Amino acid sequence: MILHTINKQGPALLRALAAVSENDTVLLLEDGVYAALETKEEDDCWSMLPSSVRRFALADDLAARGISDKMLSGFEIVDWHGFVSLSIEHDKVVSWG
Amino acid sequence: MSTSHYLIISGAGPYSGFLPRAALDMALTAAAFEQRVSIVFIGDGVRQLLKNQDTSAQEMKNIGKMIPALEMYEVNQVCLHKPSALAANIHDEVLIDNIDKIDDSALKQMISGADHVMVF
Repeated sequence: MILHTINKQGPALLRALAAVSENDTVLLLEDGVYAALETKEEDDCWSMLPSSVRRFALADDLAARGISDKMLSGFEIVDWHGFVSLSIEHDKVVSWG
Repeated sequence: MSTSHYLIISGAGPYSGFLPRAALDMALTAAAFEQRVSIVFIGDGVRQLLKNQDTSAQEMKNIGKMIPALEMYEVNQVCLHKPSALAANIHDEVLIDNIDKIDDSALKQMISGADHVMVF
């Protein structure tokens, strides 16, 4: 079980998603949170993940960008404590840059 | 000293900043401490593996000359993410020799098998 943190959208995001396995978790940070927005294109990139993959986005980064209420379904919002808990729950954290 | 498996993922173009050098330095350092080290070039990072790099006109170290030396310094595995190379239209004949090619599923296995994964 791996926690993948992703802090960018675009090609860097797609590259990271290609490395996500069954039962891993994805956490979007910083500009990565834009990938949780409701748009047709982003929808496609999430459909390539196994359904066992949980998806999260960091509350403060969503709020800072004014997009907390515009997220795709299937995402959960975590605060910093949630981020720490996720880090502990998983065997390791891979921070995609 | 106990041995861990370090997986280093290098995803930036060869002269795009400090990250490509930092990835190689990390690989060499971990290998010098007798750790098991694999390095994967992915995304724009595959451009680090082009063999005709010539930095003689600039004051920069030639990344393309450093990579073939990794094995001599006991970096165990040097890999190219094949889908990234295909996307960049990079084919075998322009690449440094003796690089392992991996696909997405091999990459996933490497990530899950490593003790530490670092992305540069």
